[in-house]
Amino acid sequence: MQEIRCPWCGPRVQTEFEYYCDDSLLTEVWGSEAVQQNLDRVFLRSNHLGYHQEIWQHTHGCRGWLRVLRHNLTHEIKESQPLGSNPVVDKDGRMQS
Amino acid sequence: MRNYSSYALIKNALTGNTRWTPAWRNARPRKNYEVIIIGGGGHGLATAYYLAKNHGITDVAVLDKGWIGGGNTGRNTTIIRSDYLLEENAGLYDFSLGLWAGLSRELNFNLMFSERGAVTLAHSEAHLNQLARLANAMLLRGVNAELLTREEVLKEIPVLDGGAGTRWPVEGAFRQPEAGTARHDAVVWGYARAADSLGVDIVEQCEVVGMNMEKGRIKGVQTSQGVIAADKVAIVVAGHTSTVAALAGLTLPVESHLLQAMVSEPIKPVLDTVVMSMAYDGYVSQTNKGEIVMGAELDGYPSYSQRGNLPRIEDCVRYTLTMFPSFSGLRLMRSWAGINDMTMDGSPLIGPTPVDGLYINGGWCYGGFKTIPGSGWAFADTLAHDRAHRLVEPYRLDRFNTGHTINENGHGPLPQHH
Repeated sequence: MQEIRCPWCGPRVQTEFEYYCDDSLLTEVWGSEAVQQNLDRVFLRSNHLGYHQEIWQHTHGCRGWLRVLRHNLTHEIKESQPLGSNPVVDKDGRMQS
Repeated sequence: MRNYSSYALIKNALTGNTRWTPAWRNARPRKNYEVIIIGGGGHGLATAYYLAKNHGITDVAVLDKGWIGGGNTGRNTTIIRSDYLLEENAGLYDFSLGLWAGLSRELNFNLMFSERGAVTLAHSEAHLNQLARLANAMLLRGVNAELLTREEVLKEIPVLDGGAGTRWPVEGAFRQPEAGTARHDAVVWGYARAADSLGVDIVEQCEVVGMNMEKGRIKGVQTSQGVIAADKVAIVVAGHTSTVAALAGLTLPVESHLLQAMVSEPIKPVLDTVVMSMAYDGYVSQTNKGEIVMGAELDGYPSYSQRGNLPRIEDCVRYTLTMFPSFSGLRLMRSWAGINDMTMDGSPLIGPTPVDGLYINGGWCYGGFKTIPGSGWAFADTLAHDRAHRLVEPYRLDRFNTGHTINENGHGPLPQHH
């Protein structure tokens, strides 16, 4: 069982939360030239081994939306912040300095 | 290849079983090959076998980073069926089911394919309507399917608790009589032995760490056992399709998730078919050894860990015990998790890539084990002729760009819901 820290409720068990999608899905691109970029955004995933910025919801709790920095091999969670705060990795999963 | 037979069993018994030879050679990689297949699982080995057998291409190496049978082939629930609604899926899955029936004889290896049928339980009128639609779609294509009444279900599966007192009483069921199960290890061992005897090199403990490319064309691979050149390279690595494709600079419509399954201690025969349910997302069968095998839903978040979490095990056991309360005295013997490469429409990715000479067969979601023979057959044809075989053409990599997704369940591009 994993423990996830909700920014509003504190540490809670994993079963209260639901994974929604990779953060990269949320960066919309506008304009008619952006068709391919948007197709890639919706359908492609970097799916690299390492840290990912993910969107989770505290479904069986406060129902708040979280941005979670989680490792997809060790399941270590480095950060969990309210959605809307700045991401700490870019869309390729590289840590920003 | 020495034939396995009753005669061979007796002869070797008389000599104290000291004269058996290994089922395949422990090959060292040569400097170059016509075709390199990355991944020695069911699909990779089947591809190599059919390349050699159907197309006479024997200058083939199958590279695996671990050992044969140590990946997803050994991490599934061995259910084989072809009850799919969409025409694209029906073609490949049913062709595959047809191959399973004669495979033990063809490979001279007992795959223990057991045509025991698969039953999907309906718990409401809406479920029954949905299953009737599926059965009709299958019958129109010439694939056998039948609907069972509640009485028939309860009579044929006496151990099932589907009566009025249960949480969701059984209303009826759908059955594919030709569906079944097979011995998972035997499938890879059988294909490895048959491919090896036709001249294919099977190289274990050989991890691919890079791709050699020149002007958009594949030239070979870098491995833990050195550089190997090849005209064609195929990525057939269930569970790591994205990471291996990334070595060639490709990004795929794949997210890797965990799927768990588990077995109980063995008991005497009590369940002679595969049981699935429209209400409980679980699937239950009994192995020839007597263990009750149970499969669960995805754990729900991307992971490469091959390590599941307890909540899903509890869900799975709960579903099973609701259907089969008499199993409550059994002890769980083992549980395991496989990495499912989930695509954005729930269907696999098969075919050429933007890199010349580089091919992919992956993204099998839940459908990998049952499709091993058909996928190997059609993918070998694809490799041999440099164009997608009719059965796998719909699974081309660029279908998301053109809007030709193959979405059996109608969910959007959120793979954890497929």
